[in-house]
Amino acid sequence: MLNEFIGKLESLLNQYDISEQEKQDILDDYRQIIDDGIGKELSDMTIMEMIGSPEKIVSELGLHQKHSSTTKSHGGEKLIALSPFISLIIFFVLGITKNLWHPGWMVFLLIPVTAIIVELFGKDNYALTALSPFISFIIFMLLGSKYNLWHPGWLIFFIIPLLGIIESKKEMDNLEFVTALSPFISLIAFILIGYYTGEYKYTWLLFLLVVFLGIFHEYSSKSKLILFTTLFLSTGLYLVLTYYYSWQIGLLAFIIFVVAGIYTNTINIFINGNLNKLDLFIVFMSFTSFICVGYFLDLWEISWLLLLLIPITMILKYQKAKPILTPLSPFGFIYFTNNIYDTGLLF
Amino acid sequence: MNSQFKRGIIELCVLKIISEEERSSFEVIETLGAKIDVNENTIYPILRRLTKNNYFETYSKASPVGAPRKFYKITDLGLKNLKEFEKEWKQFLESVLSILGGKDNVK
Repeated sequence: MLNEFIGKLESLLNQYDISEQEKQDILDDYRQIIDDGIGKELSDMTIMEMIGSPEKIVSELGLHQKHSSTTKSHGGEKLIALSPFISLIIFFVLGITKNLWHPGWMVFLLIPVTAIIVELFGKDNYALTALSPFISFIIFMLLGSKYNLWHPGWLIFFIIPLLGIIESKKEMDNLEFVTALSPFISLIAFILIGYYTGEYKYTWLLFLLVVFLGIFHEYSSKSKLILFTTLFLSTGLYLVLTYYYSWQIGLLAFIIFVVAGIYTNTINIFINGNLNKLDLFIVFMSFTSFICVGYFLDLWEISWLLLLLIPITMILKYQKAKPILTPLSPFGFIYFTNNIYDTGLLF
Repeated sequence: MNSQFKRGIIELCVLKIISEEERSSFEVIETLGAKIDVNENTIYPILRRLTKNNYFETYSKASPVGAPRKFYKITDLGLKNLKEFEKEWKQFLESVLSILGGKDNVK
């Protein structure tokens, strides 16, 4: 964990305009602070809390981010200035001669796209990511209007974060890179497979890829072994229980993995302040009623609302400031939209 | 409390702590963290900035665990500024307390 801290701090410092000497100086100082903490037999977690997050440290250091020194060419500036007029001409030509008002209007996207191309291309700062919203929007519109593939065509928008991660690869090692990609890959695969097969109760297991890769980041090899074993055990048990009973019962198999996570300190529960017996009772009752209403009345769609009792009660109990309605308002909104949905006013 | 305001007070505390005894970064973070509800992220950057401003000088000292440690020592410039900050702080506090109705009114 502490090695990761130094690695993260170093990669963040690399983004700033500081000398190698100054960077090493800061890193050495933090290595010393960590060594001192270890020398005092403090846990990794305590040391991390003492020194704070690398992101905040870097922002507090008041460093200046690296800037590209190149400026756009004179010709580039002209092209940006002309792009609205060029787009307008193309739009009218397409509309009048070919009656292509739609999707001809998309030529107006040339305006921001030209600016991005001129500003960013040839420089080391995420040109493809900057262009990806326009590329994905055009593909989405074409897939939707030509082939009526609005769904799952919208998945194309995932190229925005995916390209962002791909262009940030140099700041990550291979494991970090694959881990960062995994939620999007899992989600896309889940939606596509679910959409074309209609099978979701097994397909969601694809999300375990994220957990699986996450375990590789675990520092202790003993914890790693426990987590891998229990993950496979839980998954196997889920498959068996789902096949013979139901997926709801199958989900209980993952309690084994969650318990292992708590045991290995991978899943941490932080409690600020003191929870009294009433608070614990409310938490327990909310979870119990969520499971009972969901399972016995088969009302999983709304039974999760019972879990909101936890934040609502805690806000009512612990919120000292006067405008108490502000933190409670999201819960009112959920209630409101559910009612509207039920009465058919929405959709 | 306003973060800029708090940062100023922490700066004063860091100067004071090191004026009393030469310390390592860890000791400063530990001492301050134990007494004030402070965002620890800010302490090291303050130490570094004050060193850059020549309020502190650093030197290495052998450590029983691992590599030698960097220690911070207050300079004459640091001491001079500490005295000024302390004076300003006391004057400010007295003014605030007089507005709030005196020390007895502050609990």
